[in-house]
Amino acid sequence: MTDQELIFGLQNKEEIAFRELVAKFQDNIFNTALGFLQNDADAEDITQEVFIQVYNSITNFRQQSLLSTWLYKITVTKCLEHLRKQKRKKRFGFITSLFDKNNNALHEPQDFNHPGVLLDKKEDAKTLFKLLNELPESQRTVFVLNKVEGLNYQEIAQIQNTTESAVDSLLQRAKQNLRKKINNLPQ
Amino acid sequence: MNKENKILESLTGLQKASAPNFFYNHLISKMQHSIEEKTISFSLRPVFSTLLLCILLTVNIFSLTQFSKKAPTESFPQAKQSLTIDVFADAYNMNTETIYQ
Repeated sequence: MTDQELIFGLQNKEEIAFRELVAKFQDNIFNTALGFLQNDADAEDITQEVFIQVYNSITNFRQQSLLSTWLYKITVTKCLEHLRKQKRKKRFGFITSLFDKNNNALHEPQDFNHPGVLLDKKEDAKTLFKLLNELPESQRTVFVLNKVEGLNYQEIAQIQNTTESAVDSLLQRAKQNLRKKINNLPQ
Repeated sequence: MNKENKILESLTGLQKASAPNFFYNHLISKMQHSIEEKTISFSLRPVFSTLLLCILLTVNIFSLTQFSKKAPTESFPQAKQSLTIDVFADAYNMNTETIYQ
């Protein structure tokens, strides 16, 4: 099914089209969400929310961009919203409980192991994902889309409504910041 | 390779993560659940409950005004009431004579 047929089917609320859309993009959306959120359950939730939003608002899709670009846009927005919510919760953590019943920290990010990382790079990747949380949103978005999802500059520029050179400079700044943070890590 | 580059290059060759098994089924059940929730939450919305209350009040006021208009004609004066009791007794043959016969 082509993107055009898929959109037409979705606008007519055909189940086959929706099933096809999910089958075609579920891994991409999940992988992107996982890169941002670093948690399987949260990533699955966001992936589901993305498809629900697509189903509900496909009539608003003006087809000025590719269907995949639109899906990535929704994913990025939802992930960033989720992260902001988490940050707010963390801020209010001083008022609410800081620990759960088992004395585990409620608001601290857990160590994340991406399932697709090569075995010998697992420890380094874990450190990188931890440091990624400290980057500004725009740099983090570009880094995840490029390094985790494997999108090129052109695709990222379309998703972010910006130019390829802006994407490049954001990626360079992200790398610079990460280098600084790596150097500041305790030995 | 120094530490910086080693960490920065750790995502090279990364394989994409796949969505969990039965993702489509989970998604469909979530969608159905959210539709059910929507209907319930709609009925609990203040706009809906206020509207329902207004309708009930209007019906109440309407019926009250209608009945109060009809009330004087339909109320039974004492004479009319005794007349109806007689008619009733006649119809069912409940005169004292017939009972003790």
